[in-house]
Amino acid sequence: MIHDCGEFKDLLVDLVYDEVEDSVASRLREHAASCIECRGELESILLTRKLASTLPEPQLDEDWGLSILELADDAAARFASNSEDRDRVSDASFDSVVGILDRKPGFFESLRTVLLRPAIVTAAAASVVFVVSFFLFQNAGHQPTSIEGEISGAPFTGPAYLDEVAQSTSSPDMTVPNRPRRIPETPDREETAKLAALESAARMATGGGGRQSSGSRIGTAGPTPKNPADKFALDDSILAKKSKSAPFAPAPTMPAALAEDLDTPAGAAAGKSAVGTGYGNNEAPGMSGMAAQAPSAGGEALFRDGMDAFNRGDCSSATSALQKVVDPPLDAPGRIPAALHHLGRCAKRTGQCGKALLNYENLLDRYPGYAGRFEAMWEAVACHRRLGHVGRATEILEELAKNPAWSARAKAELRDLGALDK
Amino acid sequence: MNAASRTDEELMQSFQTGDADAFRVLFEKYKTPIFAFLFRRCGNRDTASDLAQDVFARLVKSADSFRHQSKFSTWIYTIARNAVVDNARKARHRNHASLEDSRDKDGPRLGDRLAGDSPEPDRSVISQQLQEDLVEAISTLPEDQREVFLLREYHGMPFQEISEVVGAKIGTVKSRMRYALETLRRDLDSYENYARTLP
Repeated sequence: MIHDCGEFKDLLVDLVYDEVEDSVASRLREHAASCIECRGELESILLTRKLASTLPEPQLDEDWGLSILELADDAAARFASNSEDRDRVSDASFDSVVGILDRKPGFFESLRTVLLRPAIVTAAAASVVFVVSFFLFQNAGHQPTSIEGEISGAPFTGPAYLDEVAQSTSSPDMTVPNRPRRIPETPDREETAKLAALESAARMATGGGGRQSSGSRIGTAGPTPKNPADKFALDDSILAKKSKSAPFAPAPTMPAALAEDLDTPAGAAAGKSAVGTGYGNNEAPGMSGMAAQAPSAGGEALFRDGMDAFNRGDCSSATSALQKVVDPPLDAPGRIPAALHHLGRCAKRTGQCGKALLNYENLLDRYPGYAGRFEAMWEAVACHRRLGHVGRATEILEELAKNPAWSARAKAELRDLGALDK
Repeated sequence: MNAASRTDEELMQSFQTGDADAFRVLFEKYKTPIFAFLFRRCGNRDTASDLAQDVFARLVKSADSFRHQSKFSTWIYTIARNAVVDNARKARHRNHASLEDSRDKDGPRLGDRLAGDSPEPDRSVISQQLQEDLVEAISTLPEDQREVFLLREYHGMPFQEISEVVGAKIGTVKSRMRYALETLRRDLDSYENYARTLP
């Protein structure tokens, strides 16, 4: 039994939170039973805990954190890919070591036999001659077909692209699909635009055709697919555009009629005017005109840079990157709603409520189907309230109150605004 | 194995090898507690929501650096705690209004919000008043005591783990808890009889 009140008080907190051994706990209780002061202290702390337990846990909305799950999906894909690479490398190393050890007794003997065998030496010499003649052909400006096709799996239209494509087939990035090569945005865009212009001129000169390449361009302007392998495919499509090689181009993803419209000068003009005057639909405002000529990797990379900066708390860099995502030419139209949302958040965080509202209202007007709509509405309300826009805040809250998941909170805010009774 | 029967650390290990569903389980389990911790620490719903987003984003981004040397809960609460400390520091640095002021500007006070968030028609007037006073009492605790109290009382974290999260010795953590409980007892003294009627 504990007789010292000091020792009891030292262990009191452990006792009330069950962090002492049973034997110690029973000795402490025995002491409390015999000491009025210590018993009183124990009781009062237990009563305080009872009172504290009445506090309800604040709840989040059902759809909170969708962007986090999206981020996690991307990260999981990256981890899976890295894990496969590690496994592959370690398996290969293991196999080669085990193989050499297994064959060690006869390994050098077999090697000597191989080296001395005249037929194989002849074949090796022939290979050298073959490779040398191949490079001589290449340097002479020959347009190779079959050999390069074997190397890359695709025909080539000119030697200028040979190194690049051969490099792409041997690049480590090709085995890591979730880490597509970062292609500098501006030179690519310019080059792609030039190629597209040349391609367009060629089509006009030949009187049509080329729908497939047009479709591919439009296809790459769409939302980036979640599957990392598809991201990889986007890189391929960029290469394909440079080499004007059909096998690299993905299948068209837009309706044929629309693609046909855009193939004509009138259609292209219409597409450009659509970009200039606003958006014809809510989901893919950049699927036409200039946007169709830009690789989606640029917008996607900017979006990711922006989100990275946002998550780091660097609102300035986030704003700079995300603003480019929403400004024409639109590289990643699928990312525009989230970019607008985070532009709003950046502005809100840095105390620029007016600027935040521009983005929030833009988002709410143009993208009614956006998954984080209600979060954006809630954040817009906070901005309106800070600026004293009671009327607009009330309007948004009334809309929010219609949603069961947000109703309680919106009504509480409305009550606070004194608007519910009105 | 069923995801629900796996430990947090096992789930995290699965996520590190590319299992997105394992992260979802962790996310669903921790999102509300982390938000609640942040909300009770900073007293502002919007700020807490933003910070909770930051916490999970940081968690995802640094998932591959989790080496299983500590419990997952210790790790995530450490991130959350650092986020709220950083936020408070930035707020002071920007010479913005204090957290208490921003709470008032952003809308109803914490107590009002909590009351509004959990409507129970049979709640007595005393209960409502208690909640408000309780929130007030907790929010006026010194920060070091408040975080220890919140982690132990509302998140069931053992003192040893709390000491890892806040970076203090276990004895210091227990002292802070003791002071926090004494302060709360003093502040809520008028509810003693009511507390005796609670189950």
